[in-house]
Amino acid sequence: MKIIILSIHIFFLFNIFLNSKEIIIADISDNKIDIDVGFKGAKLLFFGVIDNQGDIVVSVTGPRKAVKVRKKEKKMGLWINSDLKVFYDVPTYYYVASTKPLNELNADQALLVNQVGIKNIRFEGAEEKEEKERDFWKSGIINTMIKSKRYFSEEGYINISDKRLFKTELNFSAELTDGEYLVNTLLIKNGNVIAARRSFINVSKSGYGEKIYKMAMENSFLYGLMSVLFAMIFGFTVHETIRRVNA
Amino acid sequence: MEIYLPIAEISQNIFFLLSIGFVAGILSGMFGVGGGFLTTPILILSGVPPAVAVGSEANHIVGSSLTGFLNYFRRKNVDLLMGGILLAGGVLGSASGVYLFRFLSLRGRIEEVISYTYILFLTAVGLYMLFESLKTRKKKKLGNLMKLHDHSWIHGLPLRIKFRRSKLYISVLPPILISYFVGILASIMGVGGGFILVPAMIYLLGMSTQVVIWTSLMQVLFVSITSTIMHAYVNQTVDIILSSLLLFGGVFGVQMGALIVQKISGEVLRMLLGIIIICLCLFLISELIIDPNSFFIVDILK
Repeated sequence: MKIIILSIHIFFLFNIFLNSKEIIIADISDNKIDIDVGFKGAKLLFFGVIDNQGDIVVSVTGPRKAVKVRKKEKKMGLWINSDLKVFYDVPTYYYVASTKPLNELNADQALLVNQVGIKNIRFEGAEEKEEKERDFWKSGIINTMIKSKRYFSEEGYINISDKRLFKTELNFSAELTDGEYLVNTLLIKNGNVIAARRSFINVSKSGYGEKIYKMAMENSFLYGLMSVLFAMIFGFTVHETIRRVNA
Repeated sequence: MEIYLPIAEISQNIFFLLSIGFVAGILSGMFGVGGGFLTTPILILSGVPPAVAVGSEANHIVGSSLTGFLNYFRRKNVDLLMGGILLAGGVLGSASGVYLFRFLSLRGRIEEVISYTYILFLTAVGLYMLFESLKTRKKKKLGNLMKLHDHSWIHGLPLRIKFRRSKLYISVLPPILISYFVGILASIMGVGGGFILVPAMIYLLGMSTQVVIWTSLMQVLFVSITSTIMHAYVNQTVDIILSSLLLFGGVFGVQMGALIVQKISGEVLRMLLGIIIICLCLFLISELIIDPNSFFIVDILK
């Protein structure tokens, strides 16, 4: 069923494409992700048509946030937090897929300018640090993000069929910050970007998760009272049940 | 099976959380402590943000200590006057502790403070309990007649009151100060404070183990209520899904602990608690010495 709908979708895209002057047309199987209590991550299908031959690179960038980073250092045999810095505009999520491995595209400059590839992500902050030390902090942040499954160190693969149709699967782990995710598609030929297209995926909390989060943030006092009440009812019920079972 | 925790903003294994709750439940049934001193560090090590671990744990303790409180309530081992005095100090302390917590987390120091306070208190309390229980055991074997409690400078302070149940005639200052201090620690460490209060009442005030457990549970209950509401209100760090899972796991643990406690004598109980505390402490110290798997800690700001 899914495949039929998708085929119809691609067919329409193709029609639009024939009647327009766009070089890339692309769409996502779903442009929103709901984080509910049972959320385990998501996979979305990203597909489209290109007019010109070349390599396609798709990057997914999560909402950019400020992050507080602490460096651990060993002093007198103990690990302690030695330094604190704040960085700004750090993507909370990063995933990239391409038809060829990024280093075989021969487009290092274009990738750098467009912030494609984990090494090319830019963020602000800690300007007072010397470049070398700043890079050290930056790679520390990136490594931590990879370990916490927010950045993907491995690139995904984009499949091209009939030289014009492409599709790939976008991976999302359970570690998602809610907000707008930017999907940037680039068509690269001879080291240059010849076309680009942006799409967005909206990630939001939903269901019980969202209700609990909203209440905790907006009605925090009431939420606190409710949590206590809930725990007390629970504790009391347990006591009564145990007493009856034992009696 | 993973479950998404909306306030902690991470997914965790349900059975992992249930079994932590179970172990904490056994401890609270056996020793009249909430089990928070064990649960909070484990939650933090498993990836729950420290602030959320502390806030949610306070909420968990409300439920688990109420169960224990009601269990002991029927046995009438109650010193209401002592309980009331401890309560007043504890509630005040826990409210001030939440603000101290906020101050420290804004400065990015809270994880270190949590970790060092844990190590400090666990070592002191654990070692003291272990040695004291060994000493009592030895004395009992020799068949010496024991005094009700040893008299120290604490018993010489002014403002003395008679505590009938506890068979004490001491100043109100030590209980108030101790419980205020425990209240602050409770808010910072995400514990009810039972593991400090129990030995403090036994060794500093000279109360008997039987009366202490109930009185401590009462204090823990009210301190954790204050601390939960304050954490939810000031820091927004109470994850109700997380604390419910811990509570659920604790149901069977509490019952099991209460059964065990009827079969073991007081000093063996204290020795066991001492050993558990020291093991946890060694584990926390090893975390400080062994190379971390990441040299950077990254917090995403809202």
